[in-house]
Amino acid sequence: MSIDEKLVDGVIAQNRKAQRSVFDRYRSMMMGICMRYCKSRDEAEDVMMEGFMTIFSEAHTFRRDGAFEQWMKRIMINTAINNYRKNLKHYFHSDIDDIDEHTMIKSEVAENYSAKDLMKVLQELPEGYKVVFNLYAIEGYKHKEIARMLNITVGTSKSQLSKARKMLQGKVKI
Amino acid sequence: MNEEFNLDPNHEVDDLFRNTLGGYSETPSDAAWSRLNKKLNYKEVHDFVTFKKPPAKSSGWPTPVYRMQWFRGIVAASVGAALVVSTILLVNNLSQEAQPSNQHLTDSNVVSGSQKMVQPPTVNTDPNSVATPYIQQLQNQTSDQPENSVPSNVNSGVNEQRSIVNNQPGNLADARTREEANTQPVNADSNPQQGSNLPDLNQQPDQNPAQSYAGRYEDAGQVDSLIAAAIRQDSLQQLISDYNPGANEDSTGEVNFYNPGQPNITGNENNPVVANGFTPNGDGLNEYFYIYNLEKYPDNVLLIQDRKGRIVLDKKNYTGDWNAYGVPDGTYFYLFTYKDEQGQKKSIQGVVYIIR
Repeated sequence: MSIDEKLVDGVIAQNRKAQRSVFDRYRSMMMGICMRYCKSRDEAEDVMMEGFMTIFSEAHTFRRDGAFEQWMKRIMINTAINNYRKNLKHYFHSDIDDIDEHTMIKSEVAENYSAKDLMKVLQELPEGYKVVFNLYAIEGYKHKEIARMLNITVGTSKSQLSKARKMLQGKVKI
Repeated sequence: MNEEFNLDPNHEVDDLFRNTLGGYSETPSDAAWSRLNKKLNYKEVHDFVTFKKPPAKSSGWPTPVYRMQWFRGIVAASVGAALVVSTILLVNNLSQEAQPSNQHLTDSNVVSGSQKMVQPPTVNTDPNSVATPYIQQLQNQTSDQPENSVPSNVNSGVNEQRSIVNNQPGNLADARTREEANTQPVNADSNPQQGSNLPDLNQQPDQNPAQSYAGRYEDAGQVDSLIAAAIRQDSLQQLISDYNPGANEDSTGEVNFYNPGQPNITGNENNPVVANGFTPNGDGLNEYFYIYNLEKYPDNVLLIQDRKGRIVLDKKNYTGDWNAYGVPDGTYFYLFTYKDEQGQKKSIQGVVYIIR
């Protein structure tokens, strides 16, 4: 689904009506993205707000060389990463063994896991693991790109990913 | 996308989450847009007042940024007008203040100054003269020296003004003596000494137990060490520096004189109290620096300093016989240190007036 060209023009021109349109159309999707990167719904909404602010103010930098939607998504992910970096000092890096595993998916068949449950499991991951897993497994970035985006080494990215997988596997009993 | 894990067993968890959460969506709260709208409004105003460049215009969408441009023009114009007005006022102020300075005693601004001033009746046509009214006054003052050229007239006039100031009783030393003279009650009865009880006022200095003062001090009895004396010299420093002419230490508000045979009017039978004035003029009345109850404290030291801090008297075991020989009238300060009945060292200090 692509956005109407005219709507994109309106957003670039900072027209409030156009902005409102875009917001209404994409708010749920953006919220979903932010939920994956944050610990809670409130935090996710804040990040989404910030993301839209960035989208609307930087709309004039959109080079029209792709889908506006992809461009917005990229900005939203970057905002989430910024939020993660900002909060790094608040998160303490805990050992794998210390994570309490109160969320245990009981179902035997993987396909029966509801999205809400999985989202909860994902949100409970330590921030570093969560970000890397999101970027690799869900967004589809390569380790090189992840390392650049997060300002870490490729090795760190790989190890974070494997730790994240281990943890998730433990929780969903794969 | 993910080519790396072809045989990777981990891809299961990746797939699971990607498939389930890849398109995950959740509705934000209802207030989300209003919050966002508010933020967008704030940003718009901020960008406007900071003159941020508006984005490129595009296909007919009206934008608040463009609408506000006329407002920006008005703000800029008013700020500019305010600046212009204030600079005009500032320049006006400065030029007005500059007017009196034209009357300075320089030859440089002769032409311009004279053109603006009202010409005095006696105009000096000398091109080197300064023809402002102020200078004219000085020239009139020093007109009794016609042979002098104008510049030196001017200079001498200025010096004359200054010297007048100096010749007034502004000389510190003179002022002090004059002021002391004013504070002294007029004692017309300055008779030569009478009575034989009193020591002869015409005595030679070296026979008088209390020495005259000339910047050095000596005690007819024991002479304390110089260091101890130096310490004592500072004892009254605060009192001296705080001293205010016209004020006095007596609680009754008047100078307290003592006469022999006079009853003790201080109401104090035990402690030493100083009569803070005495008139050693030979009339037999209060000829000595008197301390009430002095006889109770034979173990004592009396220090007298003048207003400049010079030690006038530094006597051990004072017995009440100092008549200020060789000491001019004026205001002095005493420090009387004594041993009381319990053997404690105590002291009293204050002002004493010598009035002849």
